[in-house]
Parts: sequence; structure tokens; C-alpha cells
Amino acid sequence: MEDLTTQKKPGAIEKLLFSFRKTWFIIFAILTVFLGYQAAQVRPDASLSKMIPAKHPFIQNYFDYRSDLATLGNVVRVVVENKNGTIFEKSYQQTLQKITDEVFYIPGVNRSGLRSLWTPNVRWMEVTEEGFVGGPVIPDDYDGSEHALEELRTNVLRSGEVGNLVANNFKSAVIYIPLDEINPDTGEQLDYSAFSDKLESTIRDKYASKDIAIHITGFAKLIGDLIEGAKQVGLFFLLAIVITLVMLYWYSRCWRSTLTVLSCSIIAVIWQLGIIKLIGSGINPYSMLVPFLVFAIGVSHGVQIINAVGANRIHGNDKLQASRLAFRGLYIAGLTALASDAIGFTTLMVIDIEVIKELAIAASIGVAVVVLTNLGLLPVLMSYVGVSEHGVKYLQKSEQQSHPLLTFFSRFAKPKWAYSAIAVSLVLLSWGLYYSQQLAIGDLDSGAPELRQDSRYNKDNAFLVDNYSSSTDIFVVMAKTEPQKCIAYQNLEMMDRFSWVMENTKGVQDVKSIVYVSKMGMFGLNEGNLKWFSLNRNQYVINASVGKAPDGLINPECSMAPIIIYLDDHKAETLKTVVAAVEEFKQQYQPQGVEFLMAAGNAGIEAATNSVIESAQTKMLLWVYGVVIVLCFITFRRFRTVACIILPLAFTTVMSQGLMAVMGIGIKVATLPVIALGVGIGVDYGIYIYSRVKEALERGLPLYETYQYALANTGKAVGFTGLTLAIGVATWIFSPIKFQADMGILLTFMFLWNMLGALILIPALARLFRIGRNSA
Amino acid sequence: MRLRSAHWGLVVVLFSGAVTAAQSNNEQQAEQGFDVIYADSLPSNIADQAVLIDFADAGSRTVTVGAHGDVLFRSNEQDQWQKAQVATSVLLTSVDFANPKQGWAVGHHGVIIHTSDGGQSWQRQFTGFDLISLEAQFYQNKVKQLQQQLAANPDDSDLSYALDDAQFQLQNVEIAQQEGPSKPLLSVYAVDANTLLASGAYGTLLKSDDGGKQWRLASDAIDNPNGFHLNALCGSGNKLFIAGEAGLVFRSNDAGATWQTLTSPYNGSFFGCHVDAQDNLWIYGLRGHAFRSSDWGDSFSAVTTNTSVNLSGGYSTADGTTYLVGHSGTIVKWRADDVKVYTHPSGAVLTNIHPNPNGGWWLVGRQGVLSWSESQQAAQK
Repeated sequence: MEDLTTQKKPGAIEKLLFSFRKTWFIIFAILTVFLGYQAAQVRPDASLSKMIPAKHPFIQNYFDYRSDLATLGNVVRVVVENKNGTIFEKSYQQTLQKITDEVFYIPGVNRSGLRSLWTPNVRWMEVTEEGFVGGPVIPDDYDGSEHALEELRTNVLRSGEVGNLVANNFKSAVIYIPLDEINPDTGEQLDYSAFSDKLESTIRDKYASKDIAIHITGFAKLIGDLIEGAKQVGLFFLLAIVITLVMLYWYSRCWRSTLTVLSCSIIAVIWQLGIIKLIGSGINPYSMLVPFLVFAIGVSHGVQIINAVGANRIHGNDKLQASRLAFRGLYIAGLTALASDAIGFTTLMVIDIEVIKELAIAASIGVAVVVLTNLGLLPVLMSYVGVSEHGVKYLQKSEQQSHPLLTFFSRFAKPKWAYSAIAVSLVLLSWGLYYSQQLAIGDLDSGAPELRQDSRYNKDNAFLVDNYSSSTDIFVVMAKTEPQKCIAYQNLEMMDRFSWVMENTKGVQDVKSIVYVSKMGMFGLNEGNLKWFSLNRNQYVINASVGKAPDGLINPECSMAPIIIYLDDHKAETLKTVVAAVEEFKQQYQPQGVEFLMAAGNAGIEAATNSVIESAQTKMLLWVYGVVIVLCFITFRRFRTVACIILPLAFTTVMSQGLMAVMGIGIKVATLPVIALGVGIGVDYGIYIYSRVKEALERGLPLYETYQYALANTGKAVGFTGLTLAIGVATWIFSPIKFQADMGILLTFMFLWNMLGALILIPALARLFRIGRNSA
Repeated sequence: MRLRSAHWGLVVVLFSGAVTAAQSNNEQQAEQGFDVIYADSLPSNIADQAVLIDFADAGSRTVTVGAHGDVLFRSNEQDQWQKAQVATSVLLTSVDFANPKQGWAVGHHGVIIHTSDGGQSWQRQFTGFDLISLEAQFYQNKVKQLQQQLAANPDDSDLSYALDDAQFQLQNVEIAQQEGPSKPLLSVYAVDANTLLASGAYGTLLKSDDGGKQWRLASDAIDNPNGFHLNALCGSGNKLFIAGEAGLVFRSNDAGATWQTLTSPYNGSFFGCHVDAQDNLWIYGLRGHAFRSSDWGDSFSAVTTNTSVNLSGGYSTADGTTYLVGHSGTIVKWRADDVKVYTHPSGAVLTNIHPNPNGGWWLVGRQGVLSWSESQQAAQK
């Protein structure tokens, strides 16, 4: 079918671009070299402070006391498990001792805080007639004999370490490793990645055997694993390029245009990375998605161009003329589509989380770059290289024989098919609406949500949770007092009440704070008589009772005491309940002298993130839809047209929410942007299809023929675009990082579903809205 | 002892005034915001897992008390513990019933609570603020009296020493008036529905003859110049015993009116005592030490316990089999000279033991109420 754009007059931009082809070529080449140099210096950055909503009051409170809380959280636990026996065996104890020694020398370890059965600070204690007696858990004359092991067992039992350093089933023991964020000798920041590697090489690789299993958990290990996982993303990118290359060739049967499109798209990625580096922004595990998107968007627009160039060649135009005509026919639709992408991405800025903002900026820049490379550079390059004879012949052949899929999709412009499609969509829509009601905010799985459930880290974590008396979901409330008043009786009493109220809150397992230390101290100071397990009004007695408080339970100024609340999980509902309970307590008791500030700990931070996500969710959807509707309206000037394009998108949004609910993926930092990306990019299909529909309608064709025309000119390209985009992000499904995988799944779904939605629902809706004069 | 009865006369005369003063003090405190003494115990589904210390029977009901003012009760028909309404949130350390309806519990900050409905609801009878007022009255009078005596006998060095001591005590009380009550009550014993005793830290002993409406200070009735903690009260009929810190043991033959010091078999602390059905007195405490007396405390024989952990609570069955419990989940079963030691799987600090309707046992302590039955577990030694 003949392309109708050939009758258009060349525009000013086209003249500017094609009159100075060589100049443009040189400018692009220089820019690419410069930005490529910049891009080479981009390093992945896994700073956790960027992944949290820095302006949220919880986080502000947390930042205020960050250094005071550091000793609490920054701990790695190495669990040494005897697979075939208990810890009371000579060879096991030997191994445990060796590992403890090795750990002692790893840079970053706070050596005085290091605890294991083999460190002298782990002691048993007993009250006798003369007062306290005690000693190290490992007997001084330990020789590995039966007798010594029996003594060790007795000491372990009376040390109170069962559930802490020793597993409840006595089959494993923990080495508790507090870390120094700042190395006290060198003043350097702890390198999490290096520390994590060191643990792997000196502990796990060396000591794990058929008898001994090593499990490692802790924030530093998690970050190490995240960075390790992020490195694999590079491989995914290569994979995506290879798959795209194959598909491009399969589509065009022309190496020249395949490689040109691929090069332009890679250039777009290089530019995007270079510009990010130049503006001082970084690349994080979330914005790593952007190069994939830029590449895929570049390819999809490139395909439209080479498709048009090839078509124009068939109709007898030379390389230059074919390229000019392709540009002329596509640049308005392309610009609209890309502008809607870019502006759609910028709407992500309403989410006040640094990584999402970085992702929004990176993606917007990336799309702007695609405008230059794939709408500007690509046609210019094509005017030199052209589409090969082989490619033109292939295109000609496929144009002559109507593609079965093309025939299939064009049927949706006919009444019966149109109304059936709409009916089916309504059924699906109600499914989506039903399930999207169950869509939850936040992370839904246990363990570290950043990593997969079956990752080694989460398995190690599960081992710890199963065998020891500790939860890894921690919500910290900071009890703020005047300086030197953190252990004043009245304040402690209020904290105790608060702790008991929290312990009685659903989802709370346990609460620990300086109050507990004081009670334990009273219990110990009074001959181990449990009748004294209480706070005392006498301040001197209190001071004595907390004499042996572990680090971090009060700050050096004694103006803050963290209250550590251990939770069953970090599901949004649990966090909401906890936050509400804290608020209610403050409301009911109006504490004087002590202020209960939320929140630190992984669960506290997640609660803040959830609240930001929840409030941003609707705002973001309104913005992104608002923007694409306005853009579509500017381009097409008809409400019915805009409805034809937008409704399939909204349908996809609902369906993807339903999918998330069914798959157990919550709305979180990683998945919220995906919805905006899906809409922003999804609208491209509609714009490309409808711009062709519009051309045909202007010529007065009836709807069915109109749609046939549109599909003939752009259908293949649209289908191909959907596939390339989906492939670009689908590789992410295999990422070891859970949120990247979630993003991959959702984006793949949205890209494919948006494509089908556009191909099927645009004609169906056009039929419904009686677009096209001779609707028959 | 004669001198001391003279004191008591004075104290009793001044008593009603002291109580009035103390009660106004209560209300004043209550207005100053949260105070654990006056705060109602919170509803809780996990109170049976928090610290619980003592058991008592109220008819067919078993009652247990512990942290946060928690009182739990359960009758044989019930399959779970029910939480009572309690007008305090202090750690309760001891509970006793005079009959199925009337019971008392004591705890930290000098709190005494009372129930007249078999343990379902508890009202405050006394707090540490009342105790401070009683002490203030007591020492003021004592100082006055000693000053008068010293004026008559200026050269009596004993009197002058006693005056110094009384003045020092009075200063302590004045400090306590500022700071608030810091002495916990550790044990309560109901001789009958009127005659009650409560003992506590630093030699505190309280007595009531009217079911707790009025409490008076009886610390001076025992010879405890160092003010050692009076950890446990127990008895049978009018015979009462106090077992305390540093091996102190006292006996009263007249339901707590007068006391005599017994010769202690041990210088370490006792944490618990009870009298069994055969009228044997059991006292037990630090490092597995336990003693038994069949002559009301005139002489004691050491009980082999085969353990070195602290023992805090005990129970004797009708046939004289005695169970003692303590730290690290330790349960000692004594029957004549056959001693078995069990360790509860929880390893928890245990404070007391009580038979449950299934033929097994309930234990209380650091981890709340636990169940235990002998048949499930092999003895270790």
C-alpha cells in the first residue's frame, strides 16, 4: 500500500538536517567520543541513603541519630554449623576457634566488640554467697577432652547465650562481628564490597565442607551481594544486544540497516551515560534499567525509520530521498511519542526518593538523546548506507503477500470482532480490578527484600531466624530526652510502658531497650532473684543496673535510647499497625520528658518508604496520564482519538496491577516507576498506529481500509517494537536482585500487553466511537 | 521486745493521721502524669508469656501474678489464663488468699492490691508513698523519743548511737519523700481474712489486722539491724516464718504479733519458704541450698538437691513429695531421700511451681507460665 506521506512538503528541520549531512555526522562523532569517555567513568553506586525517602520525618529522625545507631545495626553474623553433630565436639570447636581468629584480622571488624565462644568477652556468671563468680565460657584449661567439652556445655547453659551465640538446637554457633563504619586507624570509609569478598574468600570458601556449613548475614554482606548482583547486569545488557541484533536482521534481512540501527541505539546509551556522569548523577541498581530502556526505545524508533526507508526504496526513491521521506513521515509521530516518554518519566520526580529521581532524570535524558540519535542521526546515516537490495527485496516480497497476522489484527476494525474484543477486555478488566484491590504496598516476602527468596543470603538469613531467637525485621523508635536524662527513672518508666504496649501490638515479637538492661541488671545485682526484675525509682540503683549496658543502647550524650522492636515480618500491614500503635501511645500518654521518635531499623525505613510510595502512587498516575493525554490531544485534537489511545493504556495499567497482586509483588520503590514507564512508552504504539489511521481517514477511507492501511505501514514495526522492548527488559527477570527481576517481569508484561492492546483495542474502540465516515 | 511494744502504741495512735496524709499524697502523684503505681494494668494476650513470679489458690481457681501488674487466673474448667482487672502496673512479686474470695498481692514501689471477688478485679490498698509516710512518722517519733530519753540520761552512749541511727533513717525517708518509693514488697501472707503480713526490701515488714484497710509498719518487730531483705513469708496456723537475705530466718508463734530470730543453717540468702502438710518447714535459696525443719525451725537439716542453681519456689504434695524450682529451668523432686533433678526444656529462670488439673505442673518465671510433666522428661541426675 502506498505511503501517503510522500505527498507532504519537506519541513524546515528536514532541510536543516539533510542539507548539512557531513557536518552533522562529524558533530555526532565528536560528541560520541567525548561522552563515551565520560560514560566509561560511571561506576555503580549502591548507597542505601539514596534508596530511602530522605525528606520523610522518620528518615530525618533517623539521620539525626545515625551515628548513634550505627553500632546497633552494622553487624555481620557468621554462623558456623556442624552438619553432623553438635557444637560440643573437639573438631568443631577447633574450626570455630580458627574462624574466630581469621575474622579478628579482617579489616573493618571492631575487634573489641567481636563475640564468639572463643573470645574472652563471652562469659558465664553465677551468684554465690560471696557475690558474683564467673569466667570465660571456654574453660581456662580447655584441651578438647570429654571433660572439657562437658564443662563447656555447662558454661554455655549458664552464660545465657543459647539463642544468641549458640543455636537453640546446639548444632551451630554464631560469630558476632560489629563493624567500624570508619576505620579508626586510617579514617577510611568501610568498603562493603571488599569486606564481603573477604568474608567469602577467607571464611566461606576456606571452611565450608561436608561437615561444616557457613551462613553469613548482616547489612555489609547484603550490600556486598547487591553490588555483586548488579555487576551481572552488564552481561544482561550484552545478551539484550545480541538478541536484538538477531531480531533486527530477521526483521529487515539487511545487515546494513540492522547494524546502523544497533549503532545508533548504542550511541544513545553512551550519550545517556556520559551526560549522567557530566551532571554529577550516578547509576544505581534501579537506574541501571535506563540503558536497557534507552537502547530498546532507540531500536524501536530505528525500526520505524528503516521500515519507512525500505518502503520508500521499493517505490523507486534513491537512498537520500528514501531517508528524507522516511524522516518526513515519521518525525512528528516520533517526536510526540518520545516527548511523551520523556515527560512521562519526569513525572516520576513526584516520588521523593533519590533513586527514583535519578532514574527519572536518567530516563528522560536517555529519551531526549534517542530523539537526536534515532530520529536525527539514523536517517542521515541511512541516507549514506541505505537498505541493501536483499533487504528491499525481502520487504517487497512481504508487502505483496499480506501477512496473516496483519489480516488477523485488521479484523478488529470490523464490528463483530471489535465488539467481541471490547467484551473480552471488559471481562479481563474486571479481573484486573478485582485483583488490583488486593495489591499491597511494600515488600511482601521475608528476609532481605532486595534479594531473591532463594538467594544464598536469604537462605542464610532464614537459617539464623529458624535456629536463633532473633528476628531480622527491626523497627527502632528513638526515645529522645534532655542530655543526661536518658536513664532518668520517669523516662525509663515511660519507655517501659511503651515497650509493653508495643509488645502487645500485633506483629511484634519482642522489644528490647535500655529498660530491659536495667531490669536484667536489677535481677543480677539482687542475687539473681527474679522478684527484682523491675525498674527502681532510685537513680543510683538505676545507674548501677545499667553499668554493663552493651554499646548503642544509649547514645554518648545520654539524650537518646533506641527502643528496638522485633517484628514478625516487614509487610506493609505489619508496619502500619506498628506505626499506628506508636502514634496512639503518644496520643494517649502525652509523654513528658521523653519523646518517641520514629523510626530507624530496616522496618522503620521501610515504613517511611511505604508511606511515601502510597501517597505518591495516585499522584504519579494522575501526572503520567495527564501528560500523555495532553500530548495526545495536542497531536490529534480529538477527544475520541485520545480516548482510543489512552483507554488501552489504562487497561494495561489495571491488568498489571492485578498481575502484581497475583504474583505477590508489592508497590515499592522498584515497581512504582514501572507503571509510569509502562504508560510513557506504551503510548508510543498508539501514537504510531493512530497517526497512520489519521492519514487514511483524512483521505476519506472507511475504518476497515483505514486500519488495513495503518497496519500495512506500521503494524510490523509496532509488533517488532513491542518485542524488542520486551526483550530488552526481559533479561532482567534473571537478575539475582529481586527488585530488578520484579521490574523485568512487569515491564515485559506491560510492553507486550500495551502492544496487543494498541493493535486490538484501537480499531475496536474507533469502531465503538464511530470514527471513520463510512462506518460499515 | 518490751521497748518495741511501747513504740507500737505510739505508732498506732498516730496511724490514722498518717494514712490520711498518705492518701492525699497519692492523688497528688496521680496528677503528675504517668506513674506505674496508679496506672491500670493493660489488657494483654501475652501476659502469660511475660515475667510471672508467684502462684496462689483462690478456691478452685489458680492465680498467678507478675510483671506490668499482671494477674492471671484460671479455673479447672478453663483452658486458658484470663487476665484480671488490676489498678496498678508494678511488678507483683507475691500473692496469697485467705479464702476463695479474699486475696492480696504485693509488688514493687510498695504496692499492695486486694481482691474480694476471687481474683477477677484488684484494687490498690497501699503504695510506697503510704509506706514512706509510715516510715516518716515512725522515725520522727523514734527520734523524739530517743531525744527525750537522752535528755534524761545524757551519758548513755547506746542511746546516742541509736539516736544517730534514727536520725540517719529519718534523712533517708526525707530523701525518699522527694524521690518516691523505691522499696519493693517481696512477699505477702494472709493468716486469715483480717490478719495480713507483707514483707519487703531493706527489712520492711507491714501488718494489717483489718483485711488491709489499714497497714502499719512492723519492721521494728524483728531483729534486723542491717535492714536485710525479707524475701519470703510462709506459715501454718498462727506459726509464721520469714526467710531472708544473708540466711535470716524469723519465727512468730502468735500470727505475726511478735517475732524471734532463729538460728540459721546457712549464711547465704533464702528466696523462698513453705510449710508442708506434715508441718515441715522448707527454706531454700542461693546455689541449690535447701533445708527442712520438723520442729518449727528450732533445728534444720540440709536437703540434698543435687543442683547448684538458685532455688526460689517450692510445693509439697499431700504425701510430702516436695518440688523445688530455680534458675536454668531446674526442677528438684524430693521424696524422702530420693532426689531427682529435671531441667525444663525452656531453661528459663523459674520462680514457682503449682499442680495443674491434668496431673502435671505449671511453672512460672522469666518466660511466664510453662507446663511441665514428669513423665515427659527423664531426670538428669
